[in-house]
Amino acid sequence: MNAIECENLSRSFGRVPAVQGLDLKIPEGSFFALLGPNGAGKSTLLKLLLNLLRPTSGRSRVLGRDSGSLGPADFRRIGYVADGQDLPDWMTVSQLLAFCRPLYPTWDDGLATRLRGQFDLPGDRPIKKLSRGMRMKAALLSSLSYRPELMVLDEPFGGLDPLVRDDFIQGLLEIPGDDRPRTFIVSSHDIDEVERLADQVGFLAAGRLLVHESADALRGRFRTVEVVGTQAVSSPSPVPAGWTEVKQPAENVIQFVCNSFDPAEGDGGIRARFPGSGITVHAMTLAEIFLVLARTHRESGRAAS
Amino acid sequence: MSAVLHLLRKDLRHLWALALAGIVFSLVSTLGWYWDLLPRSSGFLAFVTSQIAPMVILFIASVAVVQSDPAVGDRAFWRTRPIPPGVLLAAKALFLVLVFGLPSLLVNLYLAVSMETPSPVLLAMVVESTGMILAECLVAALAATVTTSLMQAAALMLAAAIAVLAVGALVPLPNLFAPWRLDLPDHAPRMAAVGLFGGFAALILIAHQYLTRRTVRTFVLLAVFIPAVLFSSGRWPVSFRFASLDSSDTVVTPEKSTGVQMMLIPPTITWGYGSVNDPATGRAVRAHTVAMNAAMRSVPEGRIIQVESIASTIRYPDGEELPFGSTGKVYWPFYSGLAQAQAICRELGLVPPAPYPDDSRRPVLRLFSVSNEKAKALSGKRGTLTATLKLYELAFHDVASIPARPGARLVRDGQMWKIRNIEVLKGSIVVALQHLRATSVLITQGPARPDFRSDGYRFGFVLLNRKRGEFSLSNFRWPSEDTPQWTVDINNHNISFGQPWKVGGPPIDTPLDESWISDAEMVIMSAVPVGTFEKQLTLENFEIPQAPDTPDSVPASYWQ
Repeated sequence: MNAIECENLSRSFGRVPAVQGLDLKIPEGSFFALLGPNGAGKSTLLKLLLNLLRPTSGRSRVLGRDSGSLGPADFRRIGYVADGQDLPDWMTVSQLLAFCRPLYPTWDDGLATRLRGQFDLPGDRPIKKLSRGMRMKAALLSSLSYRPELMVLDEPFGGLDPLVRDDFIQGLLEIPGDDRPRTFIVSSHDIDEVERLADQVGFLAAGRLLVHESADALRGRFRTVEVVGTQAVSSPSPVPAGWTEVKQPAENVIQFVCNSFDPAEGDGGIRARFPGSGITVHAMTLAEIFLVLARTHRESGRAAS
Repeated sequence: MSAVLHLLRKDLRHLWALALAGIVFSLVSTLGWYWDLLPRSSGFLAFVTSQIAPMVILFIASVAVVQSDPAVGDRAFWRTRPIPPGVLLAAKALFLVLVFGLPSLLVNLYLAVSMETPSPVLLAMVVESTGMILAECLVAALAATVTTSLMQAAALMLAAAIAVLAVGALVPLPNLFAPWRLDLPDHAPRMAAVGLFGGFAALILIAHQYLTRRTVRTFVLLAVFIPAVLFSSGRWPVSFRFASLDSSDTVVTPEKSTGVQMMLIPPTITWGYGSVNDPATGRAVRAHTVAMNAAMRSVPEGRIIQVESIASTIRYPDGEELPFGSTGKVYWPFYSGLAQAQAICRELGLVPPAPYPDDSRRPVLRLFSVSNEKAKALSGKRGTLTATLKLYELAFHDVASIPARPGARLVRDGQMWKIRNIEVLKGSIVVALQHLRATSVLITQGPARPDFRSDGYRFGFVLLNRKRGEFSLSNFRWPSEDTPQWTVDINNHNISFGQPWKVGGPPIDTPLDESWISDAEMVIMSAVPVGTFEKQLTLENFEIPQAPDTPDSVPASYWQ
């Protein structure tokens, strides 16, 4: 069963499209990383899913319910932490927890206490006097303590120092298990952190979902390739499908990114194109893949315009 | 219910200072006058403390409690928490009722009971004051529902008020209840309708915004609802008819009077300057009021004749007829100080002092107002003036007496008299007397109605020293009206008493002093209508007088 389903989901602000014809399915129990450059529509998509915004067209379902009809009962199963989200910041952390506790039948006081200790959150200081990282941790604490089935995090790591980030991620990872599958959706620029967690990756650009596949598959098909010849080599023309960012730093050197690498086949296909040349193939991190995708999308946009 | 209380506790904990200020200023604005807490030396300070500050706090608190869980934007905390909008709305409403509605209700109940207010008036007071407070809260809450800051909410209120005034001035719909048209004979039912319909509309809009969060549509509905409420209030005014419950009212139903003769004495004079509406254009044009000296005969001693209204018509030999509508209530007294002294003495069984310094002016009746252009057009044309006068008789009726000493007070039938100070000045005595009156716009009869006047025509005052067998009559004085409260009208009288008289005897040369006043009591008399009658007066060969060239001068004929 899917925790999230979107069909042709679109949202425009005036004439500016933020999300365009998006189709997406996220299975229950996944950790989905939503990646994309600034203004790609990540926050808008998450707000559409949680009924904070209405779609211009299309529909989405969350935990089996139409997003437009998500109500208080559904939000007992959903947690939402976002950068810039309003918190009752006149409250102390203790007051925030005391306020939230009666709202959730599944509230776990023990978990809340443990997470508060782990996050090192002061209980008696108003939230408005906390640092940004502490505020985010307070928001996360108030959302994790009822063990939501779906946890939506919108740019949770932005501006956090590494220690706080680590606390944050530990908090996410260490929720005690129960018999319900728990789904996470995280939109972030901080791909290194997401890489540790994500098993599904979506890449959003200009409101369109360009890539959606498992993190392993994505990492498996992206490679950086360097060809070094004993004499001058020339890049094939036209550039083969699946090759991007083709560069020639020297007469006998060609570098490119292959986004259709088949680990089973290895570099055999590339060697066949450059007989006698040395071929070096490197795996890529999600961050490197993200940058390649972002640059490619930008270039194609420029070319189109 | 527990969820509502949970959210209410959250708001009370957050906004406790505003809530406390709201409660305190609710109390001060009403009880401050009753308990003499407000500074007497600075009327402005008292006005700010009792009128402006409570309104400002009400607005700030209403906006703050709504915007603590905003209904606009996509960042509100409650939107992603299991908090139903209906429960949230109920909590906000309960906050406003607890902080503003309930204190107002309790204070008015306390006041009404303290002033021995008749139960229909008490009910009307409570309904009016609490209803108005809650309607104001709702309007502020509505402004807060579609905005994200206090400044935005205030700007929206200001913009709406300007739009209503501007559109209302441009669109003279007959049934449009315009807030600036408070000159209606009885505007209370319209105000009640505005409060009811407006409060209901505000509730719908607030609920709409919280439940749907479609801000643009809420604004569109707001733009439709405002004129609809104003129009409906004019079309279907709401009368609570509390007056019909007014059995304990002290008003006497006047009998028909006969035998009093009245006549107009030419020449006519012009009186004052103003404007009348030109029926052709609907615009105000410069006009002057035509008045005439009058004489009254066969008025029983101790009774007073007062004019209720005058309607005049001029008919010309060529068939032209010039009707003038009723001039409405004629406020200035048609009787002299002597007549009042006689009426007061008659009720108290005293011999009226003679000679008594009488006002030598003849009574002047305002007949009609005519535009200067119309008067000019009819210059030299003579016709028959017919004036129909509705008059009523007054007699002074003993209300009560209180010891003539500072701090003395008298409570009766929703009214309270308080002597605040007594000062002896060169043989005369000035008594500072405060008159508090339970009132409501929902009452249309008796002393609790809003336009009941606490002045020297309605009330007479006598200092009576029974031990010495002497009395002193007050001079005619206008009261200075304090800032009117919603349901408590306050008038401050500074009544001057001069030469004393022996009961049934001559004036006494000994001036009033502190020893005289220490044994005295103050008798408060109320003018009560005891009879009505109608007179029709006719003047042949009447020519409309022309306005003098110098607008400020009163023609010499006025003094004849």
